[in-house]
Amino acid sequence: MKIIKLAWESVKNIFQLKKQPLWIRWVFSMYIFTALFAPFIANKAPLFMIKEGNWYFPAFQNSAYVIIQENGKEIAVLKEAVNWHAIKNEFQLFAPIPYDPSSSDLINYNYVSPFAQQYTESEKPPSELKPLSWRNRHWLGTTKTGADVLAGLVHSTRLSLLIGFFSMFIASVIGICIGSLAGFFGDKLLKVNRRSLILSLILVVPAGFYIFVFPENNLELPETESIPAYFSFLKVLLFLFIIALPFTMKINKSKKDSPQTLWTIPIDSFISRGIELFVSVPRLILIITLAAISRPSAMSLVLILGFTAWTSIARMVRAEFIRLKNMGFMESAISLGLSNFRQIIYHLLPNAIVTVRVGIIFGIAGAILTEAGLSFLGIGLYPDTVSWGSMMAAGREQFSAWWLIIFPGISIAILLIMLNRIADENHYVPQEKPL
Amino acid sequence: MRRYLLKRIIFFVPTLFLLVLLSFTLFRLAPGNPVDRMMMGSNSQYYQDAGEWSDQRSYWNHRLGLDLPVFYLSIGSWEDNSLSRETAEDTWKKFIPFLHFHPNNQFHRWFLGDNLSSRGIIRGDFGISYTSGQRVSELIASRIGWSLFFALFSILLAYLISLPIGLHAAQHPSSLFTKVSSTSLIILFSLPVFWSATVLLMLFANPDIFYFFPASGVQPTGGFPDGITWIQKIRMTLPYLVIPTICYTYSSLAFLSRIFRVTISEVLKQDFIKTARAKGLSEKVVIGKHAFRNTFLPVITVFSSVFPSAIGGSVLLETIFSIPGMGLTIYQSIDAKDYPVLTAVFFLTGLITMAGFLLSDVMYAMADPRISFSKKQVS
Repeated sequence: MKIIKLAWESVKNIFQLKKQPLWIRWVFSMYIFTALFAPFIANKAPLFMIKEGNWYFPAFQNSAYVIIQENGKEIAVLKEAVNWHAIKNEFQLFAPIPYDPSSSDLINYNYVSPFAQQYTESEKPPSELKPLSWRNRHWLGTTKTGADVLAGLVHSTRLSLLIGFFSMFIASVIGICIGSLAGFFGDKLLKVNRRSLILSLILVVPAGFYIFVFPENNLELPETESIPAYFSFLKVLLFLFIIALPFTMKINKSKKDSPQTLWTIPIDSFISRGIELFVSVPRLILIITLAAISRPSAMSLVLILGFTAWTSIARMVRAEFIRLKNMGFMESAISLGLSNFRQIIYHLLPNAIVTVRVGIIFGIAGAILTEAGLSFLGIGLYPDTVSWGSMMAAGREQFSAWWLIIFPGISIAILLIMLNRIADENHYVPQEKPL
Repeated sequence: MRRYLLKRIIFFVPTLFLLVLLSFTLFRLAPGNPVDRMMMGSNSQYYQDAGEWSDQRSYWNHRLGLDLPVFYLSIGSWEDNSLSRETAEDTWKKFIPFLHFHPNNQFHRWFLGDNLSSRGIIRGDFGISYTSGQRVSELIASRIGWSLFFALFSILLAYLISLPIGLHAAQHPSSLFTKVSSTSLIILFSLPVFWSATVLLMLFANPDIFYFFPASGVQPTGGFPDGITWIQKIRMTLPYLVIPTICYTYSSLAFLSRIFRVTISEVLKQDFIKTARAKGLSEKVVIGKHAFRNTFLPVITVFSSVFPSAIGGSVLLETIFSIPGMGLTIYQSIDAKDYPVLTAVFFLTGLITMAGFLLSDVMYAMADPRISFSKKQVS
């Protein structure tokens, strides 16, 4: 419970919204609001409608069909295909933007400017056009296929923030774990029982054989499609668990532990060299290659961005731990005999997060930027997915459709300016707590 | 000092080996059989009658060493050494785990060469591009020029602009110019570079608005006309370079001036600056002679990243402006799944970055004696 509270505190510490100027707080909450409620801000299906005395909430239903009663019969209505305006209702409440990001308007297609006259089919003389009412207007124009740009912006805000925050969450967890290992133990402090280490190294062969090789070669396995994707991940976890077993066993705590049976592992050097190796690998090329190899989806993009961004955070945490370990409060914590875990979680991490927050927020901005760049190139996301980058790429094909380039660019620029401003160290005032 | 350098260089070797391993793993992870890709490139009918090609296929599999084990060590059962399922007999031995050693394997051939088809990456042979059939090393040599030019030229330009801005901002932290420049630099820093490139193209390379500059490429489309001097060639090339140079420069500009401002203001807080001022030196001498020298430490680091970024190229910018550099090559190879090229770029960039790290660490240690000493104090 205490750790959850601590985690929430550090999340609040990372953004420090209370210290930001008013416009940042407003813009930040607007972006979060848009991201959270995107399906209800821009949706083709009405939020609420009454038909023949029955109440329906089509926008809130997750299925592709909506069952509607008409003249006593139940009809399944395909959400994507039906023209909701044509359904005769007693009452209909549409979302503020009554369009989906990918649905096409068959009348206002082929790059209709925000300022141009937009049309709809009139009811009385058929096949004649009348001006579109302001309620259904495409406020920011349409794309080549007639998709609404504003709806696309709203939904891609959701996508971008999701990718930015989740990938950075993964990166922060990895970075904090690895960085605190390196920073806390340094080169001299991590001592491992020799027998445990040797046993663990020996265990690699049988564990690897029985988990990975043997079932592959000898068991009749079902088709690869029917195996869930996380199954191989579970296998890896089991493998790591078995290898870690010797370190938890009793032999580690035997009374015979003398300096000869304990080996010092220079974990800091290992991790620093590892980080150096990882940093020297060109990140964008790595991301592009991985994204091109893996199946295009938002989930795999989150994982790729997360697993390639942890190095900067790990370095920051390490440097911060080394600095903090020499300070007075750590000396007293050690002399009080606190456990390593307690020292890290309650004393070092909350102090380190104050510096690391800059890296985390810059990381979020970087992940959002990378995602936009990748979808601008058409890599990483599923080709149909509407995002800021893909809209700009569509605008690049037709320079006269300036609204396809300007509006996504502005929304991404405001988001990034805000994040960079939040992270900016020059405006940061360190909080002083009474001892 | 010498010990620090020695330690640093000794650590370089295993890291380099890990980089080789990583590149190889990525290369192996790539989906698709290289032989299929190679033969598909030479014969479009390949997939229609794949059966007739099976002899060819096994020949190339053998020639390229794809039938060999992947790495020196492999985990398998006691019985099967061949890694194939058919030959393994139903004995109790197949339940016993065993660590096999293969002296001749794919990694060995890839790394050191086999004296037949490839000479190994250790001698600069990265294989043959699937799409063009060119040697990868030749392809890279022919493409790297433009990337190197833009990387060097833009970073020089960015230095020349950002140094005075950073110096002024550090000296007068509350002046109007500092506030305006730092705010506008944050905004510049936040603008996605591919967006501003597109907007600049839309404004200044658009027949409908302003048609000042050509929209893509670095040369006239049909090549240079015959019989012109190199001065005329340069004059014809210049309009193609304006927008790309702006985009290349401004993205590093904001970053650099930030670094300059932070370092200079850090240095100005130090004791020796106080001493210099107390000695009664003029502000010009304090800044120009005492503070300025110490700001060059981060500059070393940043400059060491120029060459890797040249090899990697800027994928986005080169794609937008269709500059025939490394970035465009990477984009095209990803499109065509041309993995030898990607692996080569990956490995070379990593190698040069690591060499840059090593070099900058050495230069740091030479420029700032505190680094080797502080290492001793901490441990």
